[in-house]
Amino acid sequence: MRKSLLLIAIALWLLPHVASARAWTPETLPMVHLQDARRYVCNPDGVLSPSVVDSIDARLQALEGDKGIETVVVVVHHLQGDDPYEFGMALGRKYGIGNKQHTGLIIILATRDRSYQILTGRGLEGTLPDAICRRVQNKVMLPALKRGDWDTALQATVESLDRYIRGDATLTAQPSDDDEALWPIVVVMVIIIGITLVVTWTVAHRSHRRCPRCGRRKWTVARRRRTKQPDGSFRIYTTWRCTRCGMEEVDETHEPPPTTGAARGASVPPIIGSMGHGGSAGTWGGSFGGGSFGGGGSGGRF
Amino acid sequence: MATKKIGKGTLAIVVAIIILAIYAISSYNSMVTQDEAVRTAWSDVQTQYQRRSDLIPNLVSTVRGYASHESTTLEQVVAARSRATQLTADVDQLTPEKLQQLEAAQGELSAALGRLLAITENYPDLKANQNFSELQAQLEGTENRIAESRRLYNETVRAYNTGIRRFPRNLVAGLFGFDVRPPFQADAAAQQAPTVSFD
Repeated sequence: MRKSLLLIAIALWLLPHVASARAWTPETLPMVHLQDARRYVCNPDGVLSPSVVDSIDARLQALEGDKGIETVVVVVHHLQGDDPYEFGMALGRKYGIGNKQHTGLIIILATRDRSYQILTGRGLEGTLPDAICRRVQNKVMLPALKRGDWDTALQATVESLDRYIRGDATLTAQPSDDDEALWPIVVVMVIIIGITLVVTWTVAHRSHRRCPRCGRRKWTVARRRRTKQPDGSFRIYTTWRCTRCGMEEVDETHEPPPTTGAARGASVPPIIGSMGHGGSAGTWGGSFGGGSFGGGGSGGRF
Repeated sequence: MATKKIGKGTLAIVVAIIILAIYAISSYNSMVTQDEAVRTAWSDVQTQYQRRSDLIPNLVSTVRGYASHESTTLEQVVAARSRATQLTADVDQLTPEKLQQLEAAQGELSAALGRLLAITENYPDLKANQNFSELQAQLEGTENRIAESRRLYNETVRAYNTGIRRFPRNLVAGLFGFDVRPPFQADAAAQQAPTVSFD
């Protein structure tokens, strides 16, 4: 009994260590940006301190707003397969990191694998050539990594890359992106309206019945008369006439007395929903724009 | 009144021909699109190979400055580079044999570069050189780009080949002369990028 308790205790003690030794794959890595558009740093193992994560997030949000760069920072203990390049490429492919200009940027650090990688999207290779990525890594990232100072390593790297990107005047935060996205919606709406018009027109014309004498679809309502009966109900006389041969017929129908006002009030539709619910802090999910990576960037081990 | 003489059978044949023509046109157009994608992917592969050979003179001269007596390895790289750059192919001349030749030449260059980068491990001064480190990053990035562009080429070729070999589109493909294009074989020797260890 004692032995098994001890085993359970050991297992419980080991559990967090086993969990933290988890090797992440592009599929299992939680993509925080999709939950909250203001977050760019995936820090599932808690390697970076929250204040540094916040500061990097703020910088990258400003960078996306000004220059249209979609960045993902991944800081973990282990990567499945121990290949940060392949991991980053798979991540880029899976989420389409980068906008229509393909200016995606992925920064990866696996502290216990002791590996790091910067990946530049196809549209960012000119701004951040491989040699510049390596220079930033050698001068800014590596010294801090060798000290085990992950916070400084990442913060300084992001700051440095941010400066290079801001130095490139050709990069702009593409405002025309939204117009392009609207196009298919406009086309679909025009098609739907067109179909509705055609259907309505056809139905309206089809609704003409056949004349009982000449058989043409010209049998239409010429007149309608409503007379009140003593019991409050109505009698409706409908005169049908064929506009072609002049044939005429009168239909007679009966309408029950109108319902009282109280009952009518209930048929007013309820006001639909209230505006949103809770979470007024403005946390909504972000998205990626379908950018692609061609293999540019630089990586290494420390 | 002459139109009344067309029988129902004739009408059915005309409709069938129109439907077939529409089918042929739409599959022809989609084959053209896929063919264009293959061409783009192939030219991207060629661009990346070109990029690698453009890096080599600079790399060789940097290494020579530190390791002049490794001349055999350096000469092998230069020779492999010139063989690889001589062999280029337009996508329309690509046969499986031609592709294999190109791959052999590029694989030889990869191997020679791998040997060169391996010997640089013995020269700490060279490894500490910022210029060399950045050149190395460019070379690694280019190897990655080559691998990625080959992967994309194979993907587009697979889509194109499947498209033109499927019945009944293969009939349209045969009619307009769309031919199967060869993909890269996953050759371990050719795929192997020069490996560099860091410490």
